[in-house]
This record gives sequence, C-alpha cells and structure tokens, in this order.
Amino acid sequence: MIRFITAFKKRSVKSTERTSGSNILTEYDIYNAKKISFIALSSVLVLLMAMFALTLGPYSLSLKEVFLALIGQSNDISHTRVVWNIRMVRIISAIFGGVGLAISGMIMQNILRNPLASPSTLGVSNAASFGAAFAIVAFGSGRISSHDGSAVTFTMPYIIAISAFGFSMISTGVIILLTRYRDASPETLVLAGVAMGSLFTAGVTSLRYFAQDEVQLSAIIFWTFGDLGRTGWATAGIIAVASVICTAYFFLNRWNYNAMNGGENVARSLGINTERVRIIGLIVSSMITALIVSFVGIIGFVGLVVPHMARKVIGNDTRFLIPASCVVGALLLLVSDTVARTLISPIVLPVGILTSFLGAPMFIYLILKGRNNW
Amino acid sequence: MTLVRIENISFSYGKIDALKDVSLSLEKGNLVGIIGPNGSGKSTLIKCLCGLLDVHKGHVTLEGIILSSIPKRKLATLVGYVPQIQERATPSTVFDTVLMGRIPHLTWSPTRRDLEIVAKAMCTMEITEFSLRDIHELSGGQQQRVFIARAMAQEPKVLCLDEPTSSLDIKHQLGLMRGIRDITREKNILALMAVHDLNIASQYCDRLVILKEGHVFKEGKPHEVLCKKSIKAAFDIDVAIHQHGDFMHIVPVEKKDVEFFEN
Repeated sequence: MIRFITAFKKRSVKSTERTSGSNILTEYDIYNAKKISFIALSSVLVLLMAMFALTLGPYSLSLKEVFLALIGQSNDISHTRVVWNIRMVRIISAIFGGVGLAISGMIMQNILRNPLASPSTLGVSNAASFGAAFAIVAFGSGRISSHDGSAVTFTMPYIIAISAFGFSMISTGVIILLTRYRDASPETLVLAGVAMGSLFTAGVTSLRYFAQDEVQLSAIIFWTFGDLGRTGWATAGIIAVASVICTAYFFLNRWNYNAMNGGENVARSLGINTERVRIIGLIVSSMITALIVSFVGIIGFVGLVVPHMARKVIGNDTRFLIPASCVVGALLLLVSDTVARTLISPIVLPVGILTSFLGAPMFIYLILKGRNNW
Repeated sequence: MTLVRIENISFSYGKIDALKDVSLSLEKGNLVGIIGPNGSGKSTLIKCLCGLLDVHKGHVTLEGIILSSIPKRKLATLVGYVPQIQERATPSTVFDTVLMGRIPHLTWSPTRRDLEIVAKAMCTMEITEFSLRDIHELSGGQQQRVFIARAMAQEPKVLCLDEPTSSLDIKHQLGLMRGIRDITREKNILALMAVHDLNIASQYCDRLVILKEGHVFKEGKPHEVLCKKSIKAAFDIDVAIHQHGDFMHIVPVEKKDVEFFEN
C-alpha cells in the first residue's frame, strides 16, 4: 500500500514537471502569496513592537495603561504625556525613518545595479554631515548643556537641518550635472558619488580643525551620532509624510524597476527610458535620505542591510520588494531604537551607534548565507 | 507582404561608420538571417530596428509608420529584442523574467490574460519545469530560451535576435532555430536574426542578408546568396559547398585543398 502511494506520488510529481500553463500559474500564485504573507506578518510585528515599545522606558507603564492613554481614557495625565509626547513621537520617527532609509537604499541598489549602493555611497550622508558641521561652525548652533543626559543640545536644530539637507541636495545636484557631460550609467553615478562623498568628508575634517572651541567640536561630532530623540511631532510628521510620498512614487514605478533588473538594453527594448528613471529615482531617494539624516543625524547600515534582508526572503521582484523593505526597515529601526534607549537606561544610546554595530555582523551573515539573491 | 522597410539608413559610432546606406524590405512570416564578418554591422542593424539606436540618415518603417515617430513604449509592443550576450541581470525567477515581456502592455498589474500569455510562451520554449528557479541557475541554452520566451511574451510583430545560438550546443542550436522558424510561420511575424553559422543559417532561414563593412552585400534566398564567390568576398575565406538533398553544406578549406575537393 505504502509503495503504491509513493509510486503514485512520484508519478504525480513527474506529471507536474511536464506542466502546462495552468499548473505554473497556480505555482506562481502560491509563490506570490507567500511574499504577501511575509509582508503582512512583518507589518503586524511592527505594530506589536510599537505597542511594546510604548510600555518601555524609565517611567514604566503596563500595556493596559498604554492602551488607556492611547485612546485618551487614562486617569493619569502623566501617562498620556509620556505615551503621546515622548514615546509615540520617537516610535513614529523610528518607523518612518526606517521606511525612508530602507526604501532609498533599496532603490539605489536597484537603479545603480550595485549591491553595495546605499545612501552613503552617493555621498548623501557625508554631505549632510558637512552641512550640519557648517551650520554649527557658522552660526554657533550648539551648546553644552548639563540638565539632561546628552552632552550637547542644538540651539538651532532647524538651521542645522536645513543646512544639512541643502548640502545633500547640492551633492546630488553635482552628480546629476556630471551625468550630463558623460552618461547616466550606474558606473558614472557610483564613481561621482564616491568622489562627492570623499570631498565632503574632507570638508567635515577641515571644519573640525577650524572649529573655534570644544563646544563646536563636540557639537559637530555629536551631530553625526544618529539619535531619534531629536525629533518632535513636527519633524516626525515631516519624516512620515515624506517617506510615504516617496514610497508611493517608487511603488508607481515598480514595473520600470523590474524591467531594469533585466539589464540596460533589455529595459530599453521594453520601452523604458532608463536614464530618466534612474536620475529621478536617484533624486527622490537622495531627498528622503537627506531629509531623515538632516533631522536625526546619521543612522548607518539601515539603507544598506535592510534591502538585502528583504531580498533574501522576497527576491528581486520590486512589486513585493518595495513594501517588504519598508516594513523590515521600520521593524529594524524600531527594535534598535527601543534597545538603544532601554539597554543602559537611564542613559539613552544614539541609535546610529547601535545600527552600525548590528549592521556589520548582519552584512557578513548575508554575504555568507544570502548571496544567491544578488 | 512587406512589414518592415529599411530605406537608406546610416549609423555611425562617432567617426566609425557602422551602417552605410542600407536598404531592405522584410516580409511577414519570414525568418531572415543576417550574416557577415565581425564588425560588419549586424548588431547595429538589429539595434536600429528595435529602437535601441536611432538611425542618423534614412528611416525604418514598420507597417508604413516611421519607427522613430512611434513612442518607445508602444514600439515595445511591436518589436521584441533578445540581446547578444546577456548583461549581468539581477537574479530573478524564470517566470518573473518572462513576465517582464508584458511590461509594455501593463497598466497597473498583470491580468490573468497577461499571466496566461507568459505561461504559453514558457510552454512553447519548454521552460515550464524551471518556472520558479533563478535564471542564474540555468545553463546558457536554457537561459537563452528564457530570454526568447520573454521577447515572445511581448507578442511582437517583429522579433529581433542578436546571435541567439552563439552559446548553445549543436542540438540546442537546431532546436532553437526550428522553434523560431515555427513561431515565425505560426504567428505570421517577422524574425530577424544575426547568425554566424552559415550552415544553420542556410538550413533554417527563409532569406539571408550578407552585410559587409556596413553595406548590404547580397540579399535573397539562402541558395541564391551563399556561393563560393560571395562567401569569399564577404568573409575572405575559401569554401567548398556540397549539396545534400535540400541542404547546403559549406566547408571552409585551405587554399591548397580546394583542388582536392574539386577533383
């Protein structure tokens, strides 16, 4: 009997191998359904993690207290304040900051056809650091404070952010200009990005050298530690709206990015204006990274590692890779930030330090285990 | 019936002229082979026809419409392209790769009909068993079949192939040529193919074009085009041609051997 069943099974496997249309379509539907369930599951995890993160902190709250505060039914006004004004802002920044950084890294890797591309490859982060350092030195926008745990507060955070954002855009603009004289091939863009990155790194170093006092010097250095605690509702809102708009733009272009997976000539023979898709994608992803970095400082490795993590599960179909990168990015940054602010509480670690520490071993793991997706 | 008319086109890469005053008219239902030595302009001609390169002089018309006036996305529903050496493509499953061929037809998302066209193209090229495998796990011949299936999923009126048989073993070369010839007839489309092997070209192509230094050197049915004289002129080699029933058999010979064959 058992032998009969195995024989039958073997035959049925054989017959599926010689499949005709309908079978491979069912197979393909199941394959895509798996990707969708991964995205859905990760989204639920983000929500659960957010709830959990609301309970954590120096002022300990239970899940019930958090829930009551969320729906405005809490009797204790301090609960509502902690949940809404302190923790929620941070969680929203972490979620949408993660979305923005991950999606921009994913798009850069796709359009530059380079697994090592990330916001820092094109010099965006370096230019933002320079912009911030420039504002600190030019406007004296940092001071030592003694009343909280952090060493430096910034007296004019918006001026620093605008300067950081402005210089990131200048860097991107120069790269785009260069493509007019040469071509908009991935090679040109990567080389130009590396050049701009090292130029701005040199700029930051010289600003440090010429900083007038240790306050400025420490402010310049402190700014580069990405820290989500710098955001208020306004900045968190800006980050959230910008991340959502950019992601929507990328999602609308998902078939263009899919075509570009086939290579330059293939994409063009499929009717895609590859240079335009590449340049606009580059501008949009630089903008969203620059915006996030300008407000919270440098958060390394999220843009580089998250897309690879998503790819390992989802593959390269951008229809699914875009939402997956967003959700994984949100989850990673939320978990990292929660760990960063509770690990050695009451001292809050800048999350940028943590992601950089996490990033290296994760990347090495992906090199060893997950290379087949690139 | 003439589908594509190429009228006095020229193209140059900087100062190097790749095509000089080429004129051809190509008919539906035909498999047209383009032969000629390296650098004779085969790939350039094919790229001009797919809209990958814009001709500098003259024009190409497709069903009477000038090619350069057709928007690229629309053109992609009319002309399919299978590149010469596959560029470093990002890993992707076979099904997703073939699905790319539907991109010019898509509005928001592939419909059931799109997916069925993909499945049908995969059945025709006999790649259904690899459906969810990564293209990089396949052999060169299998990959080539995937890329042809992608071009077929575009449902083009003109299928352009740039040396599709170059990385295949003899069995797969024959299978592929037969497949392309059958599709051409069955769907009544035009297939234009750059090809190196003269024997295979003569066996499967309905018409042949010999390019030499960017000119059309000779054009016509295989037995009209391929003779000792024209091959000598185009490739600068001496050959002996044997007739096996309907098939020509072209053998390159060293100068001193020619007499031996003719005796």
